[in-house]
Amino acid sequence: MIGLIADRLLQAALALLLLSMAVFLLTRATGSPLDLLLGQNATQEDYARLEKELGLDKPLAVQYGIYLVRIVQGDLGRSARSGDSVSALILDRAPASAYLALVATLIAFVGGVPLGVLAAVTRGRIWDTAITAATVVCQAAPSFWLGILLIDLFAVRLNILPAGEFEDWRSIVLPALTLGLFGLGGVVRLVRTSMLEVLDSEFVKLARAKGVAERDVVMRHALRNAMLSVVTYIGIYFSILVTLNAVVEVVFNWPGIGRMMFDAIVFRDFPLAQGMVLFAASVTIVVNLFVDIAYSFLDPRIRRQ
Amino acid sequence: MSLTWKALMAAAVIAVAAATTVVPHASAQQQASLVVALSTLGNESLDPIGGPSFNKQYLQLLFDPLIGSDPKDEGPSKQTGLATDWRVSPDGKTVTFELREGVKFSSGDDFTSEDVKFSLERLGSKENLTPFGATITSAIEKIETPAKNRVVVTLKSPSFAFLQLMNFVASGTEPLIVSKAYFDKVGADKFKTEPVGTGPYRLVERRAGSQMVFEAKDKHFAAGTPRFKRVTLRLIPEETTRIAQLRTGQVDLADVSRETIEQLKGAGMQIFTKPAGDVLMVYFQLHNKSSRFQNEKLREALSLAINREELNKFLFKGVGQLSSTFGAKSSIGYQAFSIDRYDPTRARALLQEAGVKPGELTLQFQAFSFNGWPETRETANALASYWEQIGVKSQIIFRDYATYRAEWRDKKLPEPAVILHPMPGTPLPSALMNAIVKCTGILSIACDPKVDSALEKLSTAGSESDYVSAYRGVEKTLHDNRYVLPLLEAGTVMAGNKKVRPDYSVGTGYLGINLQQVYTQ
Amino acid sequence: MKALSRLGRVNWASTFAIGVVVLLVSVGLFGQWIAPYDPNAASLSARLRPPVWAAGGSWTYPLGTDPVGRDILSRLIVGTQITLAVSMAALIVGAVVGTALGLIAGYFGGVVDKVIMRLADVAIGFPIILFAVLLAVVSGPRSENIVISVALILWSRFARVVRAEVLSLRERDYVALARVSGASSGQIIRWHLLPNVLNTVVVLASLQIGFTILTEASLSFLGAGIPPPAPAWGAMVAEGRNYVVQAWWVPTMPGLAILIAVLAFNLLGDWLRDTFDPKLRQV
Repeated sequence: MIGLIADRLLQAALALLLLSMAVFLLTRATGSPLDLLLGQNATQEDYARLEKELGLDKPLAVQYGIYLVRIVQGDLGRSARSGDSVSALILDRAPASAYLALVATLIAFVGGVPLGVLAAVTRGRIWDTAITAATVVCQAAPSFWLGILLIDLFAVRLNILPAGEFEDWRSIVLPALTLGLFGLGGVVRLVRTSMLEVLDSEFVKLARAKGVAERDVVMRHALRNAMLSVVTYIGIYFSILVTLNAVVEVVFNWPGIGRMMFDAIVFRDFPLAQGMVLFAASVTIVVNLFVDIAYSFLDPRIRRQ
Repeated sequence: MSLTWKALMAAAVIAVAAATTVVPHASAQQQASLVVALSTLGNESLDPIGGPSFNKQYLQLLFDPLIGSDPKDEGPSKQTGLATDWRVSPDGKTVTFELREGVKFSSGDDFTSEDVKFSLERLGSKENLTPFGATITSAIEKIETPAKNRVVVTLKSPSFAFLQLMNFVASGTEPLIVSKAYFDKVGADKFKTEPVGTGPYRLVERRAGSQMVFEAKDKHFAAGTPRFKRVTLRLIPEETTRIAQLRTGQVDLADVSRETIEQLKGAGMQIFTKPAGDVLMVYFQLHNKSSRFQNEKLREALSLAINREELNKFLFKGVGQLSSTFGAKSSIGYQAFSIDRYDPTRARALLQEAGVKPGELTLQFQAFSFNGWPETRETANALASYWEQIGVKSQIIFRDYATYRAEWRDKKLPEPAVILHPMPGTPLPSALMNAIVKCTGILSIACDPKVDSALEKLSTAGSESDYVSAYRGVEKTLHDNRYVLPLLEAGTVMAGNKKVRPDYSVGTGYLGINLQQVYTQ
Repeated sequence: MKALSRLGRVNWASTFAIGVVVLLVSVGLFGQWIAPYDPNAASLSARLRPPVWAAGGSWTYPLGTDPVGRDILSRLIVGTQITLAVSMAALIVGAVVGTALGLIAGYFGGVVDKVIMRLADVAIGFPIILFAVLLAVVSGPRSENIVISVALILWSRFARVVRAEVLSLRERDYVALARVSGASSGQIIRWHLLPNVLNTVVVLASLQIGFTILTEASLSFLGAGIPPPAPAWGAMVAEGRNYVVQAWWVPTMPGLAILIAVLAFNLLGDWLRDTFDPKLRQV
C-alpha cells in the first residue's frame, strides 16, 4: 500500500519534470526565446537583463536548471502583454475557475449518479431510453455552442439569468450548466454500464435467488461497483474539464484561467500561456495522483495487496 | 489583492453611508456606479507613454491633459485642462503656459511646472511607445520652468501642430500629465502599475484582461463632483455578450455595431453616434523594398476588386461614407479625391499585367478588434471574398491590435501582408502621418521621398494655410500612388441605458470614445 | 441491410449512425462538386438570409447565409472535408504511434514497457488544450497544431489497449513456434502480433472519432485551429456567435453539424464495439 503511494508520487514528480522539460525545449526550439518571452514594449535593457537571468550563454542543461529553480520559486515570468507577474495573474484568476469547475462537477456527479442508477434499474424501459438518449446528445453537443444557445434563451429572450460575468450566484447558473452537462453524460453512462455489469453477474443472481431484497442488491453491490468506476473517471473528467473550461469561460466572459488562455492566444502572450500550461497541468497531475490513491483505498482488491 | 478588497469594502461602506445620511448635499446627484463595456482595453498599460493610444480611453479618468477640451464641442478649453492660459510669442517660437494652481495628484503631491516638463520630456525617452511622442519632442528646443505655475516651451521653428497636440482631441495620450515627485518616490515599476494622476478618478481595482474599476475623487477642478461614484470599464470582446449584458442591465454603456442600432432602439436603448468618423483603410508594408505590393498594378487590382458601395450599404447599413483620404472629413484642410470604382474585370486584367497568376498569391491578411469597429471581422471576410473572386486567396489573422502593432513596429509581419485598419479621425492627421507614412516613422508602411518632403513642410508650417497646402500635398501623393486604400468613413456607435445622459456625445477626438462627458455633471 | 444484421444487432441508433457516417464521408470526398456555391464567395446583398423553412427563407440558400452573405450549406459541405481530414490525420497519427508503442511495450516488456506505459499514464490525463494553446502562441493558428495536439493524447489510449492484447497473444503457441523457428522480433511483431490486434485498433479508432471532431471544433473555436476564411465548423460557430440574437441560424447550423457528426460517430463506435470487441467496453 505504502509502496503503491510512493510509486504514484514518483510518477507524478516524473510527469511534472517531463512537462517542464517539454515546455522548456519548446521555448528554446523557436530560436529566439527572448523574443518569445519579452513583451511588445520591452526595451534593450529588458533584453540584456533577461538574457542574463536565463543564462542564455550557458549550456542547455544549465539553462534548464535555472529554469526549474525559477519555476519552483513560483517565478513564472511576466506577461508579454501587460508586464504583470504571471503567477500573480494566475492566482488572481484561479478562484473564479475553481468555483465554476466545482459547481459544474457537482452538477455532473450529484446529477449523474442518480440518473445512471435510475437508467440501470429501469433497463430497457422508457426511463432508461430517455436518459440514455439524452446523455448521448449531451456528450455530442459542443459546449461552446450550447453556451451560446443558453445565453440566447435565458439571458436575451427570457431575460431571467445574467449573460455571464462573475457577479452573484445567478451568474454561475448558465456557465456551470454548460460545463456540467458534458460531464453529466459521461457519469450517467459509466454508472449505468458498471451497474448493469454487476446486476448481470452470477453472484448477484445467486443473491437474488437466496432472497436478498432487490434494494439491497442495487445499493450494496451494484452501486459500490459503479462508484469505483466513477472515481477512476474523475481523472479523465478533470482533463476534459480543463479543455471545456476554456471554451465556456470565453463564451460567458468568465474571469478565470480559461478566458486568460484564450487571451494568451489572441495576444500571442507566450509567458502567460507557458505559466498557465505549467499551472493547469500541475493541477491535473496532482488531481490524478489523489484519484489513484483514493482508488487504491476504495478497491478491496488493491487494498489487500 | 487584499488591499484592493479592503478599499472596495471601504468604498461600499462609504457609498452606503453617503446614500443614507447625506442625501440633501451635493453628492445627491452622484449615482453609485456606471459600467462601460468595450471591445478591447488596448494593451491595458496604465502609463500614458506605455504603448499606442488606441483603445486606451480609460486613461481619461486618471489623468488630465495640458490643454483641456470643451465637453460640448471638444474645442480647446481653458477650464478643463491643466493649463489655464497659453500665449505664443510673435515669432511663433515660444509658447508660455500658465498652469492651474491648487491641483493635487492622488498621491497628495502638488501639481507644478516640473511635472509638465517631466511629462513632455518622457515623450522623447526610450520608453516612449506612443505614435506622436517623436513628433512632439522633435519640435521642442527646450522646456523651462521659471515658476511653479508657468512653463515656457521653446520650439525649433514655429509649429502649427504643437499646440493642437497638447490636447487629446488631436493627439492621444501624449499630453496627459504625470507626477514627477511620485515617479522619483516609487520608481518606474510601481509608477506603471499604480498610476497617479490629477484626473477625477483613481484606480481601485484592476483585473488584467477583464476589468478596471475607478472611484471618484471628491472634487475635480473641471468635472466638479463626478456623476458616478464608481466607473467600471469592462473588457467584453464578444458583441453578443456585450449586448446581452446591456439588455440585462449588467452594463450601462457599450460600443456596438451599426447594424444592431435598430434592434437596440427597439429595446429602449439610447444610441449615441460619433459625429466625426474614423477611416477604415487597407494598407501594405511598402517600406519593405521586396514587398510584392511595390508593384502598383497589384495594389490597383486589389482596390478595384472591392465593392465599397456594397460594403457600406449592407455591412454598415449605409451609415458610413466612402472615403478617398488618409485623414477624415474632420481633418483640418480636408479635400476629397476620386474613389476607385468596383471593376472586377479590370482588376483581373491588372493582376495579369502585374504577373500574378490566379490562385498563386495567398495574402497574410491582418485584422483586429478596435473599439467602435465591431465590423472589422466581417469586413475582412468580405474583402477576402472580393479578392478571391479575382484569384487572390487570403488567410485572415484576426487578433488584438496591441499584438499586431508590436509586429508592425518591429517590421515582423509575415509577407505578403495586407492590413485592415480603422484609422482614428483627428483634426490633425499630420502626426499620424509622421508615424505611419514617413520612411523613418515608428510604424512606417510607405517610403516615398515626395511624401517625406511634404511632411517636412507640414511639421514646420507656422500658419494654418501653409499647413493645409502641405497636408493636401501628402494626401494627393498617397492617393495617386495608392499607398493606402481608404474604404469608408464612419463614426463610432455607442448604446446606453437611462443612466447615461441623453446629451452624451461620443466625441470627435483621437481617443475615440469620450469618457469626460460621461462623468461630468 | 440483411448482411449488416448478420454482423450485429442493428437498431435504429446504428442505422442512423451508419446513414450519417456514409453521408458525411461522401460529402467529405465529393464536397467541392456538390456544394452549390463557392464556400468563400460573399454576397453582401444577400447577407443573413434565413433558412428555407423560416419566414423569409428560400431554396436559393437552403440553410441561410452568414454575416457576409456566404451560403452556409456550401460552407458546411466544404467544412466537412476539413473537419474529417484534420480528425482523420490526428487519429491516424495517434493510432499508428500508439499501436507501435503498444506492440513494443507488450512484446519486449521490462524497462521499455515501464517507460512507455508511464508516458502513456501521463499523456492520458493531460488536458490537450494546453499543448494546443502553446503551439498556437508560438506558431500561430494552423491545422498541424491540432493534429499534433490531439495525436499526443490519442496514442496513449491505443498503446494501453494494444499492449494488453499483446500480453495475452505473446503466450500463444504460434508465437512461441515462430520464435523457436528463428523469426526475429520484428518479424514476429509484423506477421503475428499486428494482424491480431488490428481488429481492436479499428474498433478503438472508431470510438475516438467523435472525441477528435469535438476537440478539433473546440480548438478552432478558440482560434487555435485553421485560420479563416476556411470554413472549419468550430470557427464558423465562433464567427457566427455574435449573430445568435438577430440571426440564430448562423451559429446554430455549424453547431448542429458538429452535434450530428459526433453523435453518429459515437453511436457507430459503440455499435462496432458491441459487435466485434465487447471486451473494450471498459476503455
